[in-house]
Amino acid sequence: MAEKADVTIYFAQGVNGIKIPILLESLEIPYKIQYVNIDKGEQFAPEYLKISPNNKIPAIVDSSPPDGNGPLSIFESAAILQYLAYNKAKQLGKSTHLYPADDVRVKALTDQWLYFQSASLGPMSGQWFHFLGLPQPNDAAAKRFEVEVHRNYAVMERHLNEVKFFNGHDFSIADIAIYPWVSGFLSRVPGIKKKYPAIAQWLAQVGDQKGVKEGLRKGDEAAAAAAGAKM
Amino acid sequence: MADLTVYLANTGNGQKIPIALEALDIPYTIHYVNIAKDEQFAPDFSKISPNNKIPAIVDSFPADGKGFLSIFESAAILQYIAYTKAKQLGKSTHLYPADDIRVKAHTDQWLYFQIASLGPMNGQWNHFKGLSEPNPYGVQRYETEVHRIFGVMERRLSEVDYFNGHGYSIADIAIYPNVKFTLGRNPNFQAKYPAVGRWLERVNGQKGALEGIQKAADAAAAAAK
Repeated sequence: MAEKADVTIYFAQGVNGIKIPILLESLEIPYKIQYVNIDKGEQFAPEYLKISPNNKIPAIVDSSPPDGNGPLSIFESAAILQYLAYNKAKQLGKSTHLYPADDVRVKALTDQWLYFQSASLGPMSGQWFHFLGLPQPNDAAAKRFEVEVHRNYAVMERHLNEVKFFNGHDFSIADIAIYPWVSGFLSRVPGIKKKYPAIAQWLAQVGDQKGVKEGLRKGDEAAAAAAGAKM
Repeated sequence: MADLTVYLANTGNGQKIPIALEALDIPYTIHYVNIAKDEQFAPDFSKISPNNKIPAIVDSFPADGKGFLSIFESAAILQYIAYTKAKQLGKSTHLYPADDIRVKAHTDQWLYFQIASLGPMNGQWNHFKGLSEPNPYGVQRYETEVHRIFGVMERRLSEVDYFNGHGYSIADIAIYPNVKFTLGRNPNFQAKYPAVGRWLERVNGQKGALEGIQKAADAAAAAAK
């Protein structure tokens, strides 16, 4: 059955882009992927800047939003996740369990960990990876961000020793936003899982949630198709 | 009587909350958190703010009647205050009209632009500029990125008066302290980003903006005694 896809995701392979296919697969909301080649600077194209003025991925365009006032574009992964998991899910008669925004308390709990990812975990991890990858070492900067990333992980470890999923209620868009960052880190740094056992356990539980494996696979397929198209 | 206690220090992030509360005439108490004395790591504060950052709030009488509610992350606090708490207290929700899907999405994306890009990158630039052991690569990287971000804001504010394209909102409130600080410290920014400068003047004139900044400064001064 082919449901009409209102949602187009502007996507490149990586920790931020992948959040959106994971969510949409989980909720069974149809979508199309428009690949944005970061290597080719496609995020700076004027047409793309209209949708994503900070020239980043992901972004979405919903051609038929619930207010019926024409296409709605959204940038910033947290805003996209909230819109899709609540507003779009409601419109399409899907479950809003990934972001039950009518419950003031669960909403606030979900929001604060989602923004923890946007404001702390993401930016600080990103800076660390940048300095690790420099041809000319910058030890002071790399150390600064290494310390800060581990501080972030200690925060998550303490929290996940008390709750199963970040909002203390159920699997949500907060877990979806954090998952790709943690998955990359834990899989690349040898022995790190022993330092953060609660996080490692959470990682395994999230990996088994509906939509996660499918979302990851869709991301790989889109990246491969984009690479194939380059040739 | 004030349901809300605001845990803050006198920083760009701390100032956001009194600015919003003053704008909405919502009563609150400030509990000052002295970052210089590591008070953000105190066990009682960690319970409210597990990432050990300010601001955080505790609402002793939230709308669901199920006991106090604590919230960390300035964006979550601003949204809660400007919509949920405002509604409960019969105040205006014009700073965050979350029932309008489109205005909500437009406000959210610029609010998260502040927490994910402007805030962190400005923070890194200030850090590297202030180092006693110079790190020119670090300074250059973040200075370039802050200019890129200001370019994004300049383009946006050349088209709209307020970030969400609708009206003064919590997105402007979140961005305001960073921009006020940066333009104040860096005269070359004023010349390079005139639309941002005009927006700053508009926000300076909004109810609660200067009052909120003053409240955070007053709390810092009182804590220092």
